[in-house]
Parts: sequence; C-alpha cells; structure tokens
Amino acid sequence: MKGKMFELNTSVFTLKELKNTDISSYDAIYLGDSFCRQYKDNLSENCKDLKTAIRIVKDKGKKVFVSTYAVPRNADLKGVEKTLFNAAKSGADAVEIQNYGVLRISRREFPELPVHIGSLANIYTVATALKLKEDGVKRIKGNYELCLDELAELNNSAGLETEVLLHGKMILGISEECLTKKWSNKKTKACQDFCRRNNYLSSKKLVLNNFGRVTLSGKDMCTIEHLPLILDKGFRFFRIESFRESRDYAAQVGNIYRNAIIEALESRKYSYKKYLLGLKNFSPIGFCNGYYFARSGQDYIHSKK
Amino acid sequence: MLEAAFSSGADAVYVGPLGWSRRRARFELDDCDIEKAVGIAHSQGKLLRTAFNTFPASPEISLGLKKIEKFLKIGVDSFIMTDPGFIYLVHKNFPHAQIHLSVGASALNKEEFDYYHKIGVSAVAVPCELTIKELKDLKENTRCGIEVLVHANRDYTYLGRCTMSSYSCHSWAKDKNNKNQFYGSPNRGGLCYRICKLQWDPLGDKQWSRDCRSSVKNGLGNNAYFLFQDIPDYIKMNVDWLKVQGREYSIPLVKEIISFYRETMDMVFGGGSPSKDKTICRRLSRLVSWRDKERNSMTNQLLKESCN
Repeated sequence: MKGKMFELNTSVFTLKELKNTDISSYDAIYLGDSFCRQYKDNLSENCKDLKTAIRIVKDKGKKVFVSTYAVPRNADLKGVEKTLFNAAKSGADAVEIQNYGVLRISRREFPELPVHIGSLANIYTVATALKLKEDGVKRIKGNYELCLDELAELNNSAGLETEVLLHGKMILGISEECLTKKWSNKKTKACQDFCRRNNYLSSKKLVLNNFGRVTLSGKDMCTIEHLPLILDKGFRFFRIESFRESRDYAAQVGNIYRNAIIEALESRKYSYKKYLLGLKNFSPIGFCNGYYFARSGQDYIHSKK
Repeated sequence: MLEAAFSSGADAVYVGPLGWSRRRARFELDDCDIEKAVGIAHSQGKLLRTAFNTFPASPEISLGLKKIEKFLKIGVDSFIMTDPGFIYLVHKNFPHAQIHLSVGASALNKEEFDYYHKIGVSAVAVPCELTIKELKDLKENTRCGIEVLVHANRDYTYLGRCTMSSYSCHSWAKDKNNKNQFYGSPNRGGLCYRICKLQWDPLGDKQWSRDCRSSVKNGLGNNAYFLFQDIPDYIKMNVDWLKVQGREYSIPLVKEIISFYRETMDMVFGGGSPSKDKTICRRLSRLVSWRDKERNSMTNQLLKESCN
C-alpha cells in the first residue's frame, strides 16, 4: 500500500462488543482475544459468534482478521487449530498469530489462509522478518521495543506489510495465569470478570493497567503529534489498540486518527492540537510515545516543530 | 567463577560475550577471556558455551555472525540464542554449530519446538512454567534436547515476553564494538531493573483494589527458586541438561549451589531419595537464605538505579 492509501484497524473481542461499537472509521477489524481462552464470549473460541461477526464486518465492506491464542501450551493446540479452521471456513482475510508453533500449524493445515504475525512473537530483526517471509507470512508487527527507524528498516527491507501501533495501551507482558484472579483474595476457580473493569497498579512514577493475563501500559501510546513523520517513513498499516476500552474509545479515537491521517497525507499544514484535545478525554493516566524515539516506553516526546 | 563451577561439578559453563547476553558488561567476558575459558574447560574435558540470548538490532547481526565464526574457530562448544532470524542465519552459515534455544524465547509447545528445530536448534531451555507432564510430552514427541533450569527465578510474566523494565527506564548506548547495550531491556541485552519487585498500590475498580491490595504490596512476582524434589523425575525422563542460573551471585554461593546439585544427582543415580535426606534438606534451607540475601541486595541496587 503506497501513496495516500492506508489501513486503520482495531480489535474487538466479542460479538456483543462488535454490535455495540461504531467501527465506521476502520478499514479492518481483528476479532477475538489473543490473551485469554476463558474470556467470556471470546470470538476466537466461539465458532457460531465468529461466523456472525465475520459476516457483520464483511457486510460493512471491511477486512476481517481473526486473532489466535498467544501463548498456547500443548493442551491448547487443538483449540487453536479449531480457531484457524473456523477462520478459514468463515472467510476471514487473515489470522493473527503470536506463536511460532501456531504459525507452523497454520501454514501446514491452512496454506491458503494469510498470516499476520503479532507483537508478542518478538520480531526484532530484519533477519527474522525475512525468515517469516520465507514461511509465507503476509504481515508483521514488530516488538513494541523497536524504535521508528528500526520499524522502517523492517518495512523497507523485508517486503512484508508492516503494521505499527498508532494509539492505545501497549502490552508490557503476558503471564501464565490470570493475574486478577491470582491476586484476588477470593480464592475461587471461577473467572470473576475483573479484567473487564478499570484495574490499575501504581508505584512511584509508574502506572500499569492490569488486564487478566496481560499487563498493559497505564499510559496510552499516542502518535497524533508525530503522524507526518510516521507517514514519511512509509508506514500505511495502522493499529488502534482498544482492549477493554469503552465503545466510545474505539469509535472516537478511530475517527480522530482517520481524519488526522487524511489531513497529514493531503496537507503540508498538518495541525495536531485539535486532535490531541479530543484524545485526552480517553486517557486518564496520560500519553507516551512508546519506544518510537529510542527512549523509555512511558516517555512522551514533543515533535521538533 | 568458571574454575569454581567446574571444580564443584559442572560439566559445562555458559559465558556471555560482551554486549550479547541478558546481563550487563560486568557479568560478561571479552573475546580474549572467552578464548582462555575455552582452554580451561577443554583441559578438564568440560564444555564452554556462549550466550547470544538477546534480540539484537538488525545491523548487529553481521557483527554477531563474525563473532560466532571466531568462537567456532577457538573451540566454543555451543551457542544459546533467542532471535529466530539470527538462529536461522547461524545455522545456514555454520551448519555444524550447536544451537540451544534460550529460555528467553519461551517455547511453550511441541509445534514450536519443531519450528525451532527446523531452523537449527538442537536443544531448548524450557520455561519454568511447564509441568513435569508437559516436559515428558515434549521430550518424547520432539527432536529437541531439553534443558531445565533447576535454579533460576520465575518471573510474573513469561520470560522474554515482558518489557516492563524498559517501559519504566530505557536508554541506548553503543559500546566500543558498536554494539548497542539497550539499558533497561533484558530482551535486547540490557539488564532488567526488576520493576515488578517494587511495592504496588491497586487503583481503579474498588472491589479489585480491596481484594488484591495485600497480594501486590510487596511486588508482583519474580521469585527465585530451587527445584529439588523434581530431580528424580528429570533424571527418569532423560532430561538432557540441568542448568543453574548463577552469574549474578558470589563465587562461593555458585560453588555451593553446583556442588549441592551434583551431590543430589549422584544420590539419585545411586538409588537414594534426596528429599528424604535431612542433611540435604537442611543444606538446601541454608542455600535458600544465602541466595535470597544476595538476590535481595542486587534487586535493591537495581531498583535504586531505575529510580535515578
């Protein structure tokens, strides 16, 4: 994808969430939760809902990708293969994979199904991207720790679609067990759905957002000020992460970025300030730039203008 | 430390070449010292392995390949690695090089083991989260050898899937060989600041805050462990290597840990049951206290650094 064409995408975990969210700003939707197979009504685990969700997204003229479980152990492999089967059978445009074992299954059993590799697969080098190209992968997302120049090198050298995060919380870690359940003083085996609420952990100058098995950044990665630079570097596949956020978050943040990208592509006088004001309402802990400028992930750097 | 490890019963030692392992420079060796280490190891009939277990920057891979070529010439026995692309290139360029997969790759299932085997990996250091049953299954159904960390630490996330340290505090700095040190990113070769060991306060949802306050006030996880009772199972299932993580500890402590495990293994091979031996259990208890004291001191130092 070159010139003024671009793709803006986000993720939706359940059918209910999909039906209640205005996805008109997006070109593509990732369906399902990669982090927890027990997440209630997770589209990656529910064949009937997935089929309906794929139809809804496709009827709106958008592309649809299906997320697969990120950290499968041996006992999870059959379930993950079922997700791949359902995605292929229901006409998904691609699957998102975070584990090299799942990549192996996907290429062997469903060779026609395009594959995107997610950030938890730890793509740090052009060498890895080239190996994935040999494996038949279509799109990659580098590890969050890569700076913009390194991501541009991946984009320019590997000949694969390179997706970058524009806005939202970054995944800082994934655990074996549900942390909200583990830390709760109520020792029950049942899922308590704590991950659907606002759970933050604070220590000194650091805030984390806890979401079941994953730890997210407390701050929202925000690139609205740096969009012209990101576009100049040649990126055209963009992700808005909206895990567990309100339906307004996905709709409005998507809308703001769509307008901003179009303005930045069409005008030399791009002004981010009006967009930034709209985004601030959705980020109680504040903004960061992640690792894009080779600094600590929680830092925010202002553009040089 | 190398000589102490061998004299206490280690069959092989991993060393980190400067800038390429998951520890900072003072726990790594330059090329001359690695050559000397190979000499020491081989003179005793032991193995010297090197750790390239980080995700380098793309342009650094050519530096890494040159280093591996040099190390093969001086007789380094094997390489422990993490980056799939780098592993694949080493295997393509030096098909005889023995490559182990680092625990930092967090390989979790048999299909993943097979993926790595196909790109050149002959053994996998397994994540400490895997159960005995899973290890048995992996050992029986894959072509990779298995390396179990009997003394290490269990992070609160899967190892290699955590960027909390660099989210908190991260900077780039190149050394004289043009290798980036990536301070604060253990995945990339800097050291982990152990941010998860800070004291945490829950915020947000009231019920969640109330329920988990006591669980997170002294840290989120990341505790060192000694695997002891499982040793007979590992031996029975023919685990290929038992590994002691020890680079950050004092030489006397590393020596004591290795001799503890060597004697425990000898007892198992001799038909004994170490977990029923009171002397061994008392020795383990002393080791735990000693190790915790040294680890806590290192953790406090790292947390102090991260806050500065």
